[in-house]
Amino acid sequence: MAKQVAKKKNKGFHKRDNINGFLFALPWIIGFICFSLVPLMTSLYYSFTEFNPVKPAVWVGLKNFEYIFKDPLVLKSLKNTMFMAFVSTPVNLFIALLLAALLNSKFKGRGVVRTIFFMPSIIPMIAATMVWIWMFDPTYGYINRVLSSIGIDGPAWLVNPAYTKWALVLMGTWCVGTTMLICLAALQEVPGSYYESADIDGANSIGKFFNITLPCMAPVLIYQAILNIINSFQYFTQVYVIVNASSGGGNSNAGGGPANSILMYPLYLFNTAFSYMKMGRASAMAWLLFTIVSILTFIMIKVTKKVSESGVGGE
Amino acid sequence: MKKALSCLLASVMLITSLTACGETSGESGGKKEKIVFWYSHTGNEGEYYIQAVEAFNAGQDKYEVEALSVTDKQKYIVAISGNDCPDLIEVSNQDIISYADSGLLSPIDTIAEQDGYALEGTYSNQALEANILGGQVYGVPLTSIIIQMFYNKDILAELGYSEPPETMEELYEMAVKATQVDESGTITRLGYPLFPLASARQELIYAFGGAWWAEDGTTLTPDNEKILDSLIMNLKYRELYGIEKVQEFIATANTNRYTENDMFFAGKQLFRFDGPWLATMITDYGPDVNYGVTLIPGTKANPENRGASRYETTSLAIPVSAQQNEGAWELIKFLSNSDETKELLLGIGSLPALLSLYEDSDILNQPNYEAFVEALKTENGIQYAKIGDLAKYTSLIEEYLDYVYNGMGTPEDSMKRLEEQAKMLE
Repeated sequence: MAKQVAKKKNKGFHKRDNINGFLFALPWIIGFICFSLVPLMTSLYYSFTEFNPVKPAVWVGLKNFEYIFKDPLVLKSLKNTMFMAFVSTPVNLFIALLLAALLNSKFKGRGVVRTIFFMPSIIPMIAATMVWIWMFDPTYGYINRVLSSIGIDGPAWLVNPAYTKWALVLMGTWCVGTTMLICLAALQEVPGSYYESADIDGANSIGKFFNITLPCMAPVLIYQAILNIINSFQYFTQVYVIVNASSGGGNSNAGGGPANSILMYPLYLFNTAFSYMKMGRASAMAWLLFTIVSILTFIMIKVTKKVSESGVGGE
Repeated sequence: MKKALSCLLASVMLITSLTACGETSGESGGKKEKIVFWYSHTGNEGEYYIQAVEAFNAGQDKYEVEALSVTDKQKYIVAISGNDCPDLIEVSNQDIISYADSGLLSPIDTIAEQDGYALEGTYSNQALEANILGGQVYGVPLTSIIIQMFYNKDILAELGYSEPPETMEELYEMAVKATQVDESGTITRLGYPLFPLASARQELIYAFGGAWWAEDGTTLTPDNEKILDSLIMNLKYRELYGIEKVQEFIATANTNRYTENDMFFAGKQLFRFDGPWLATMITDYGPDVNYGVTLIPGTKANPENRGASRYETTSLAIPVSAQQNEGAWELIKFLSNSDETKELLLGIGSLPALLSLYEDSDILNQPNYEAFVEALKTENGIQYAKIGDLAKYTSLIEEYLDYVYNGMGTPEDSMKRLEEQAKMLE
């Protein structure tokens, strides 16, 4: 009898705990519904309509999706974005890893050097981009001056469509501070005993890096790669600033740089909504982006899982 | 007791918050009604707008204007489509057409008619035309924007010329003679007016009689043969010095535009297609440059194209969600047609759209304004197309011109591809 009463009491506690838990989570749930779920579903509805903020939405079925699949600029902007995702990400990871390896070694003033390398990551993106525009100046810019000092005739980085995206890749390497810090933390997690064993076996530094360091860091690197790729699909601020600063007068700031070579998908989406005033079409573009990023994330998660299961990582 | 106290506290908070929400721009009881005015100028130019608004406020017992400099186009769109809407905005005529096409603006001619105010005959026809969509005026023109040719007199004299060119063929000949390169092939002085970039898309095309759209404003004409004539001459010049080298010069010129290092101010550019504001900037940043202003050349075959330029305005418009239409209209009249109009135009270095100022001695005494006002009087400025997808069409034009100017496509092929793309536009 006493057991039954205790069980009943426990059940009551559980129920009350559940309610209390739900109440504590309620502000977040309300926020999520109001500011994420409802706008998300509304944009899905709008993707099947033609509308602007003051006119009622008119149902047009799949017209917006048909248009974006026919629009060559959608394809072009996707290609540009893919370039940033799959070229800039490995470059950034490589540099972050390299810096982390360098800063992991013991030397005087290590803390200061670490801070210096991290500092660019906290500088506002707009200010940093403006500085880079000056640095890319073909005549007075530092990049071409440095290249010229080693006998290389630097290009017109932000005017020649062949170099614009490479300029963005170069610019991205400046902000690897956060990735570098994460890599540094991962490096410090590698058990020292592995290296001691390798030393006894007579392994050299390169061998140790590829056979111990890299496998141990694989999950962290893959996670960083996923984040970087997803971030690349949201690449906007830098190109928006460059396009506006380099538009050369006139009223056309709704482009994508020289020959639309830095027209990233988010920038084109933004232009479609706020310059071309096609909110329905922009919503359809947003859902296409959502689908692409979801598929990529799914693939990446599968890869991460496989890497973890295969035991790589020194477990 | 506790419950009652909580209820009372909640009620007080609710009433307080509702009272705060209920505050409107319009006030009663003898107080002035607030008009919110957003203008798209900053810095020194913005100061002149503030002065004009202060002058309006000083003479008013009914309205009080709160002026705010807003340069972000997206902010305009979000605001005028929502409840937090300014009563009056000052934006470009291209934006006026775009916003009007989206139903964001109230027609001005209806308000003017009710007030017995004649728009025609007060403002130039082309200025009104630039703000018309579907037969209705949506913006009152405040300033006119046209482009003409600035030239460096010293360089011309050095080449043995006493007069600027009247045809593009003459201009090309002078440009080639004026262009200088160093031992590495880097251009140190540019002859052909390839910069600013916007004039390469517009005036360099119009000078040949080329046009991106027909006069009806809705038929797009990227297949216009005169465009090809312009592109061929442009490319000929670029190939003479190397496309990459020309692009390098343009990139540097663009980064340093309107600064102390501006290529024209530094005597490194012979011809420059630009607006009247360049004269003000020369005074500030390059007072040593010996320059003149003349009409943009035509061609030997079509000398009547001389002076062909884009025609734009900055205009005043009332959003559909504005609360103070009457007050906004009073402010429009004050800013665009009063003694303060001249002060504002002189301050910001802009040309008038108000016909009575075409003969005003203060306006004509401004450096080089005479040449620009003469060009305005011809009323043959090139108006923008009145299509919903104008911004996208402009972006496409720039893309395909970039292919030509960077040697990535022939003029013929690029224009054909542009024509294909233009078919998708609405």
